[in-house]
Amino acid sequence: MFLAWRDLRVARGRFVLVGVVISLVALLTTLLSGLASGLVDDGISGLRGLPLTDLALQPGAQHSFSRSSLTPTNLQPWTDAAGADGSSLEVAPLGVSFFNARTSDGNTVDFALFGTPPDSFLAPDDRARAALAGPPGLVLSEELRKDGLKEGDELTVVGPDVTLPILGFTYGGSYGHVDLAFSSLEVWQNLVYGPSANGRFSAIAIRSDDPTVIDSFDQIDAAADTATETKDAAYAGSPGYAAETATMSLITGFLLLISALIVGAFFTVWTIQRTRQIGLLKALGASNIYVLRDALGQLAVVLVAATGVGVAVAVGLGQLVGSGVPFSLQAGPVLTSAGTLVVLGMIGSLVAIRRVTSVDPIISLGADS
Amino acid sequence: MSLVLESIVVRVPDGTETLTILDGASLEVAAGEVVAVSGASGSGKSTLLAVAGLLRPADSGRVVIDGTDTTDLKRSARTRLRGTSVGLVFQSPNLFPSLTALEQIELVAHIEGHLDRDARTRAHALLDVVGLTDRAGSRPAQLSGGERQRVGIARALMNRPAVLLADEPTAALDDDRGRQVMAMLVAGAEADDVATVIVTHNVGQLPHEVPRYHLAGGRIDRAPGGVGADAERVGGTV
Repeated sequence: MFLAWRDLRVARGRFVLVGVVISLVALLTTLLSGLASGLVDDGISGLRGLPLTDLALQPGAQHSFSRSSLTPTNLQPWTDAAGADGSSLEVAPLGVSFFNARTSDGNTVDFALFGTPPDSFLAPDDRARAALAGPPGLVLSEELRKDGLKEGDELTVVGPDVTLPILGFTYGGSYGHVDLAFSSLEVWQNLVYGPSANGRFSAIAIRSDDPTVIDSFDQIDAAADTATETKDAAYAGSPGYAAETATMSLITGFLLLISALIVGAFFTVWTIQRTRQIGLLKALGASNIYVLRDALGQLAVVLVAATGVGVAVAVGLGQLVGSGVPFSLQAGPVLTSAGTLVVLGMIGSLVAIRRVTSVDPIISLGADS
Repeated sequence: MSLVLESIVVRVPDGTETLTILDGASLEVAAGEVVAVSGASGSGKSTLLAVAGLLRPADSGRVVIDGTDTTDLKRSARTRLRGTSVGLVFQSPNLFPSLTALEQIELVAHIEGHLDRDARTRAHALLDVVGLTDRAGSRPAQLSGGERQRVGIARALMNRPAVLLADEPTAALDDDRGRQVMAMLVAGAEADDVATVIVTHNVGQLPHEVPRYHLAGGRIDRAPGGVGADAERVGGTV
């Protein structure tokens, strides 16, 4: 890269120009990635935080808790499997519904209520477990404390018009873009079905990392008339989750495509301007590999540096985003989109690269006389 | 002989017909010898240099450089041989805008993969030879036309080529500068034992002892009345 570094230094104006454009694309891509992650967090962080590995739903529920209704009959085969000697399987019935509640001073609050037996592995912590085991009430996620709610306040759940005390607060999280609340399964059944609950619930939460046990899920499903899916697959059941991630992915994809076109166009023009120089390099004995290494190296430096700047600025801006906007930067998605930007930029420049190899060194002599 | 061009034929398409640019041109130049080739515009002087410098293949004939017959060499091997054994001085200096005078010369060693301390020392020495030591850090835009051409000569000599080919090296220079550059080429060729072919219209700028040849009708002939009259010693004609 003898020539490439010096070109970068001397012709920095034009490289800065294209670098700024690439940085802006990287900035936008990273911000979108943050928004996408934020939206995902807003949609599923509560479910993701639960210590379960799989969920068994009613067959045909399409990942959705609201379309799934199970009974103790469905639960029995799972309980039997979990109770077998030496089994590492843990199961618990889980009820999930969305509610709106009124505070004593007339304000309203939305929450996704997760009902689970107090002694199940799903209870968020010992304090919550103890609270759920006592008189009926709700354990809310920390986020709801910011709305001015406090332990001992009473909430009237709209619909069933049942008034319940706030028993305490536990770790944060949300599901379907509303904050989480926990109750005992009994309270949840009472709110959703009233006196005719008949032990119904939404899904069976499963915890096991033993491959042998996981292999037996099909068999248990057949006996229990349930359909088991992984926790990741169940995220799609969160309201709006699939549409939001698809929209964000589409916008990000278009941005990356535009970036590839911009980078490709710039380097094609730059290569056309350098045609005589490339011919001269070859006339001086440079092989195609030497010339390509020079051109690709230059391209990679510009792409990586500009992308790095864009991502760094986006991360900085991300710190300034208030809690009102769902925004969450995670290393994995950010690095993936930055890497994709660099790779697509390189691919976008293939036309230019092809031109580099096809330049005839004879042009260094000028017109044939 | 360091350079042998034997019965070179080059044809190019010209509309529906074929134009013969070189028609059996031959020339031999030994190490340390300098010959000048002149000819009318369009006579094929640059084509002759392109063939001799392995920038384009001949349709027939043989090019031997420093003992290597290049007839059947692949493109990559020709490129390699050009890098190690051929120095080119162009009509316009063809310098890289982003490189300093010293870097223009060092680049040649870098291409060959041996830009080491010795190469850097030689690059400095060559700049000294062409009288540009104090302009080592100047880029082409900061150099005069004559200075640029001198950098081009130093660059062509960097890899101690067996053959030096100069294409109208003084075309853009005034007569005094042109004479200086010609003298520099001859001195460089003699000092490094390089077989040198200078294609030029300005034969008057050449030292008197340099034999002249004339390219016309696609063939090279000894220039009548020039010092080349005794050129059997330094170069042959066919």
